[in-house]
Amino acid sequence: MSKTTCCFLLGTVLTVHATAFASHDAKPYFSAPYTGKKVRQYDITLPLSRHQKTTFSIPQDCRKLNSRLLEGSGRWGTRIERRLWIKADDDCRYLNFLQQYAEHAEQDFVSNYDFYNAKISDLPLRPGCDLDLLLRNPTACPPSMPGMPNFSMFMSNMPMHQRQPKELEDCRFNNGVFRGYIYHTGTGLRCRKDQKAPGYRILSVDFANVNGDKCQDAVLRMMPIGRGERPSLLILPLTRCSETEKFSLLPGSDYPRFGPTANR
Amino acid sequence: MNRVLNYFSNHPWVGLGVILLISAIAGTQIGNLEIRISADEMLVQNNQEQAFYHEVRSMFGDEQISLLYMESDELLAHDKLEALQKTVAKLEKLPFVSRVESLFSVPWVKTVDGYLDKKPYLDKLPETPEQAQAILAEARKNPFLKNVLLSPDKNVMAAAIVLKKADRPITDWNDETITNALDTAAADLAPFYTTTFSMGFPQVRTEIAERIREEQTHLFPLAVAALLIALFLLLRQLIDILLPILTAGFSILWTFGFMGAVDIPINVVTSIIPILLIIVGSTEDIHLLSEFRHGQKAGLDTRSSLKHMSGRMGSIVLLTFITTYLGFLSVGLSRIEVLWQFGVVASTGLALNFLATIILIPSVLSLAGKWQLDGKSRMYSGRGRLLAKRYWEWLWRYRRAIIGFFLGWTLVAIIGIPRIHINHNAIDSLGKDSEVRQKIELINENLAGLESLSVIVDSGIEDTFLKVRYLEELEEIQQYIRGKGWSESSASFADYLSLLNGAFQELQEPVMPESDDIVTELMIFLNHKDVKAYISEDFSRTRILVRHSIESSERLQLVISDLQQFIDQNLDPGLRARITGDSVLTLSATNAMIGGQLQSIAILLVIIVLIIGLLFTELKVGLLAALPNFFPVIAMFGFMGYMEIPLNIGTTMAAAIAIGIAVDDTLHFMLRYNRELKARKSHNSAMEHTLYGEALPVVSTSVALIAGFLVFTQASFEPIAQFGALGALVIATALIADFVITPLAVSSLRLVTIWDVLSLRLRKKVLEKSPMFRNLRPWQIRQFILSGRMVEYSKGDLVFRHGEASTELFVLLTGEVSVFLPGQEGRRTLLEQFHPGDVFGDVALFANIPRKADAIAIENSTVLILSREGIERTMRHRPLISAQIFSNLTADLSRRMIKLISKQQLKAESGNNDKGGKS
Repeated sequence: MSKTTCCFLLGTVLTVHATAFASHDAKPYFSAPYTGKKVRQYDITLPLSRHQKTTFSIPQDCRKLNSRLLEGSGRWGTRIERRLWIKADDDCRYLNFLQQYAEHAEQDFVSNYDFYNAKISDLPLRPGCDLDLLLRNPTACPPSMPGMPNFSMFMSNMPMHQRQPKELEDCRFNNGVFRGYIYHTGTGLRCRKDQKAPGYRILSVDFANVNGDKCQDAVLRMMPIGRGERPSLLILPLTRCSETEKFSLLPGSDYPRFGPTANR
Repeated sequence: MNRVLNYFSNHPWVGLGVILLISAIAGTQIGNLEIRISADEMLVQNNQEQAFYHEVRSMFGDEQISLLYMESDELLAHDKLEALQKTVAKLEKLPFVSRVESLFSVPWVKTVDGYLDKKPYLDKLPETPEQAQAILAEARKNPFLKNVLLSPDKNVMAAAIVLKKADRPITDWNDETITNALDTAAADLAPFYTTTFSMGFPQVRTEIAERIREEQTHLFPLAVAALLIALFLLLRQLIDILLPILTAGFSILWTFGFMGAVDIPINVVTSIIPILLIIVGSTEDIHLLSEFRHGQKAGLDTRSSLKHMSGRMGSIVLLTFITTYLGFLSVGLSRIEVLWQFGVVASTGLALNFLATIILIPSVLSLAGKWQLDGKSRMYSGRGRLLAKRYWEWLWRYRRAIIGFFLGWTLVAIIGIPRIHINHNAIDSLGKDSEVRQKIELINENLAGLESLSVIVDSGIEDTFLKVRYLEELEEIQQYIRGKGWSESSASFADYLSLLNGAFQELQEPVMPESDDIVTELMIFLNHKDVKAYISEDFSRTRILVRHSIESSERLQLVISDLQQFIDQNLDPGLRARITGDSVLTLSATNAMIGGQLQSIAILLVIIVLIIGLLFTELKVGLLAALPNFFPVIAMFGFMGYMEIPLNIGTTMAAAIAIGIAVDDTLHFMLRYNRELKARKSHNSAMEHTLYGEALPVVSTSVALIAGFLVFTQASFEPIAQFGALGALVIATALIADFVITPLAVSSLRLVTIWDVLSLRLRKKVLEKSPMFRNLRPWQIRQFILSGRMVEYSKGDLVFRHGEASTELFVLLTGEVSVFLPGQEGRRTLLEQFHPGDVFGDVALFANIPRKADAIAIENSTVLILSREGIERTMRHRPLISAQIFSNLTADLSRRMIKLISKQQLKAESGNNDKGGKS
């Protein structure tokens, strides 16, 4: 798909849901450009042409930003400015996504769950790939979807010869962070926490009814952490329809993919 | 020059009026004079390196910072931090402070709940010692803080004060006000920290300026006292003692006026000019006064003595002034601004001093030349001439041993020259006892130091340094610097990205991003203002800022060469790297200084050789005259090598200045020798009289100069003290050389001055008419006659005497000479009268028999004397000219023989015995 077509589609989507910006109450946090501060609103100055710049106040100016993007302004500026166009667009699209599905579902089994301290076993570790298959033959798994966390990176198919109780305890996120290694054993998942190992940080948990069913969904924004990890936002829309079942990934949802490599 | 001196002798009040008028004009400009110590002025001006550094500064900002140094066992104790916070707030309000960087302002780049947090390390004061230790531990990981504002292993912390437009004088504040304000701020912290002070280059410059002021008040009277004592001991004439001081005083006033008018400030180097003028300016005065007193001793009245002084010394003092002037001016050839300023001001000051001398001395002497202290000079006594005679005999007798001794001395000095080291560091020159230096050493010991340099890496392509492979290039250079151990702190854009990356990846320490994608993601959260000091806006050019404490210029040279070599060999071919910064410019200035030193000395020696060669019409004489002036230079450099005196802003000037001064004595010596040689036939006699005649002026000027230069050794600014010591050494060795090497060198020479040649030109018609030079071209005549010497005879003087050995023939140039046959009871018989152009004394010479007659000057006459050796030498070297000369002499002799025979016949016929033939 060409860039112009992509922009056109994106513009159409944003235009369709433009009224949502004003009528709904979703107020997610963003990372402010330049400072990285946790904010609900930020200003960003972006080039409209070689010699013209303008300041957008996100999220208020999301529609204006979208219009400029459709006019092709996103290709102006330096590499960093072009990346900032994408960042602002990502934030607007996320807000739009939340507001698009802001209506509360009949059943809510997600908002009471403490995702920041979620058990690893409650999460769909490898979307689209059975864990056994993943551990037996990782290449047989379909490629992970772009923009989604890929927990297979922590997984080891090395058998655990000895039980190491301390290491296997507390296989869960801690204040939004999990760093360590996950093992699949015959008795279940085992984890070894390691502060130097790669991992994930949950940045925010928002709630929406993404698939329009009777169950409320949770939208987790996560970021890979640890050496070598790119600090890009990933999104994990999860749902469940009972307190006991584990969370599952919403299949086929049009949740946004973030970052310059996202498929638009 | 004679006319000028004579004019002011005859019109003393006009002279004094001119002096007062110039003084009044100068006085109007003195208000513009200021003391200004600028780091830029110590650097090479208008070169590419400086232009590049200016470009770098305008892009990345200034490298230099002032530090507020704090040391305590509990650096982050609550009360201490509260006091520091207040002080920092106070500092930030100061008009000259651009910003203050401390743990209160430097961002602690980390993530909190996944969001970036750039709050300063001390955004909140730590409540417990554990919290304080944790903050310190985190801050020590930051490459922008470690060793710059925080010692990695000692309880030392600093706040960096970045000044607005550093190094540029602004009317509202200057180095002194900055220093006072910063010192006050540091004093506020004194009760809280075991050690605390503020330090930076404004403080260093203030210290230097303070010393200059102190030295002006202490050294100036000392220099005057030294000169007075030297003059008193040597001259013992009240007027003679006061006049040099007066001329120096006026010339200093005029020089200050000149400096004010052309906006050249008093700085480290120009500050020594007044004292130098007192010392150096006195030499011409002493020579003029000495000649004036010579005239008085010879029984002349004041007016005649002034004429005698003008005639004898007018041209010589002009010449010696020119050589000294060139010596001072040669320092101005330097590309370092302070040295250039020194060269311009010192040479102008000297010219003004010369002006004061030629106006004031004849004017005052004509009014008060009779005034004396006791009328006796120590050096003028009967014993003086005897001593000179014995000294010359001793010198000649042991000439080989003496020459051997000097050669040995020269050899020893040459061996010492390679030991000379270079140090152009202003801090180092403050002396080890200096409080400022001690504080800087404390900073060097516990932090990375105040000195800095920048490695500028450039690709010319936008966004280059958003790619990891190029960031790794920076890291590699920094690792190399760290590995070499000469710098405790280097910081770059790569470090900032590492900090940012470490924060986002939630790592324990900063880590370089692994991929370009990561860098791009990080860039969203980067504010260019935070890294302006390290990266250009288009990310094509970057700076690695390296702080160090290297004081030695030599070590710095090695370090920079090594780093440049590493960069050249290892840097990606797509990148260009250049090392610049304050340290590099200082080093460049050092190299320029050394180059300038050698250039000045070489140019000066060439000029001396040319001037003396031209003056004495022979290059060989110029080369020989350079010997006694070249020797002190070698001796000085050898001394510097053995005594570990570095080449610096002060010592670099010593040789050129001292040679310019020392050559005066050589010139005086040679010109007097030439004069004595004209007046006396014997080389030995001429040398004895020269030694006697020059002993007083040369010794007294040298002693005065040595005393004056030694005054500088009392300076607390090391380069100036070293300049004084070396200047005194050069003058002392030049004095020895002038009384040992010069006499031995010139005693074997036949000196013909330019004036002699000019006088020959004036007498061209006379010579061309002379039968001896018939059919010779003017240049052939000149070649021949320059092998002889010219002697002036007063009316009644004996040119040669009956019975003397015949070793010379004579050509009368001016006046009239008669030859008489000696008779009994003093009666003489006139043989012949000779007129300009006539040759006489040739018969006895070629017959190789003693003189048969007496030749007496009937009027004041000038005679060209050609010696047998000279004629023989011309025969060997110029056979064609010699053949024509001998042909002419044969014809002349034949003509005279025929004339004699005719006269004898006439005498026999007329019985008239009154006339006869030529001798």
